[in-house]
Amino acid sequence: MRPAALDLFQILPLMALALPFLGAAIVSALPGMRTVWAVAIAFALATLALALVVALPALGGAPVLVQSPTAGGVPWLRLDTYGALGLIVAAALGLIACTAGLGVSVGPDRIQVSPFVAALLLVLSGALAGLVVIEGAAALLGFGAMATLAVAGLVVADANARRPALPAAFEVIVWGGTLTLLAGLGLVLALALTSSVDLGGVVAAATRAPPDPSLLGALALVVVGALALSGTPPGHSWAVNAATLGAPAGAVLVGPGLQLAGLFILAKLVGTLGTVGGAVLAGWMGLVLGSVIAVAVVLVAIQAAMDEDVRRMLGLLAAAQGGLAALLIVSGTDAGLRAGLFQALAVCLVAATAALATASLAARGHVRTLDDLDGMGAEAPISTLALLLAGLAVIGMPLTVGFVAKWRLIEAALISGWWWAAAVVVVVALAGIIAVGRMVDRLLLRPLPAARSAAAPEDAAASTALPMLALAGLSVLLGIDATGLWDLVVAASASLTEGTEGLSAPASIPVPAPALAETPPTMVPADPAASGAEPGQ
Amino acid sequence: MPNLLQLASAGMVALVFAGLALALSRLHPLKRLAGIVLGHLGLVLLLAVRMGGTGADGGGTHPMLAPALVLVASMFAFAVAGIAVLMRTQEAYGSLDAYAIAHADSPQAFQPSGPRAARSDRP
Repeated sequence: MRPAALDLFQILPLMALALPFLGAAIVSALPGMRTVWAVAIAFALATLALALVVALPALGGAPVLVQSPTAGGVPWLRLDTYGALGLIVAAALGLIACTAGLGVSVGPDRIQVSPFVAALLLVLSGALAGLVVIEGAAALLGFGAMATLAVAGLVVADANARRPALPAAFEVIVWGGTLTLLAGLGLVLALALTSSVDLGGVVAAATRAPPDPSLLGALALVVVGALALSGTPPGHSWAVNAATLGAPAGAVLVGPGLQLAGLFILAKLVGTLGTVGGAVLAGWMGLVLGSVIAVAVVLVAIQAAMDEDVRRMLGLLAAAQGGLAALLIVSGTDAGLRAGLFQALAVCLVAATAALATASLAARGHVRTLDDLDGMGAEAPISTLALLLAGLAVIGMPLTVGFVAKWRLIEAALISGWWWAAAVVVVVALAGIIAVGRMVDRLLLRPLPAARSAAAPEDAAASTALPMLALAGLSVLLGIDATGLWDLVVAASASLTEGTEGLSAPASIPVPAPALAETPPTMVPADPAASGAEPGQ
Repeated sequence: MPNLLQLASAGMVALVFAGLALALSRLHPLKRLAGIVLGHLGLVLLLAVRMGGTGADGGGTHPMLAPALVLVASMFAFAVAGIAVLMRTQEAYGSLDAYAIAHADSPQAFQPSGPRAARSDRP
């Protein structure tokens, strides 16, 4: 860790965190949507550049801890591999939302959106980054509230066009308030019990043996808050409605972004709780949480396969996939944590592609139900290609990132002794095949209805098509070789469990053959003792 | 025997859960919004009770002060955002009562598909 005084390495991360908010303030005062769009992209680009500058050294194994320069040094934010990964992904999502998401709505013959949408996108990307890297408990609550309020704003942004967006926005506000209350109550109780101001102090107290039951109960409230923030089934309804009914411009951040932030916080809690948390989660608490999530995930996946509304179907599929990540994370094992983090990133990538594709299809005309997709394959080939690649990744087709993620999930489930979780992964993939199959049928095999063939505007504009195809291409590239991302995830989970003895495998379950627990070499020159050895190795 | 501080803390925790129950109910939207404010108030009061119980730390700033301020800010933000959305809802539905009736007692109330959503999707 670097020294306590605020040097350049400490100011830059704070700037990377503050820049989107500065941009939001500026764009909300600018006239003209074109200007707003350009300035929003400039700020999102600058944020990503700054995030890369400060996060790349951390990814390379040199963590930065930014703390107050006063005596005592209250930690503000931590950029280890986990934090760096989260910061980069949040900034990248912000840039994609500002270019491609706004690009869907800004154009001569497209739906005009309020300039505040750009500001809200920047606020949301900043809040998501803050949620991942921040250390102070109060700031965590603040960023959580900010994120949910920005989501509510994005949902309601074009409520003139869609009246059901109003109840959806109200649900987001209610759920956002509920999450702040649940997580706040947990944090306040934990802080009061440990007399600390940051998560580190709470975790240090929680991992001290013997564990304090009331402290673990308080932390359980925070875990439930993180689960609900990620839209993990059964608490998925508000998040799916927000992603389904909100302004298309915000679809990249509202659905996939919020889900990723929630899963990352969940992983941080489970990871940093280390040995004690792992033991508790591997015991009854993990089993209760896991079985509730598993049942809900299966039901949501079946619901997705039956749904007629395109965006809702994709939203439910993403919720089920995110639920799989949460399921493995709460298994409380190292393998589960890694597989869960990898799945969280994979789902985010795939769901962002699908969100952009459906938004660009919807911008061309009325696309709500599966019927509206008839013949779109020939009419809008670029959006269709992206949507199909995302769909194939959702069902875990080989040569897509979805396949690697599902492989890792099943492997981790078996290592953790949760064979039934592996069965859940398979069931969700099967339900996905039905949903995606219905979509493929509509897109490629049905003729274009005569009523629609007269009006045939262009396919996605370049500002949307390029990021969309880049995301879809990345999903295929990672399907061919995911070693780099997997190494990052391994290093990130190691940085979470650093300082603890790593998560434990359930004692009563025999550890499977080492072949299953194969760990690729880490590219970060981390301390091997701290990198959380795989159970059974 | 529990002392006054513990009793007060338990009362505040109960207030938070009452607020949560109200927020997640299917009652009139204003009551649900009031639930969030109530829960936040309970949490801030809980912090105040704990602050009174533990005293200030060596640095001069109480560790609970920052969370308390964030919670107060968050309470106002949720209330203002909620009222803004409800005002738009009132415009769209004619009255909040009409909205509450349209969305009461149905877990499917917020689904875009189905006859109810089709009806409410009308411009």
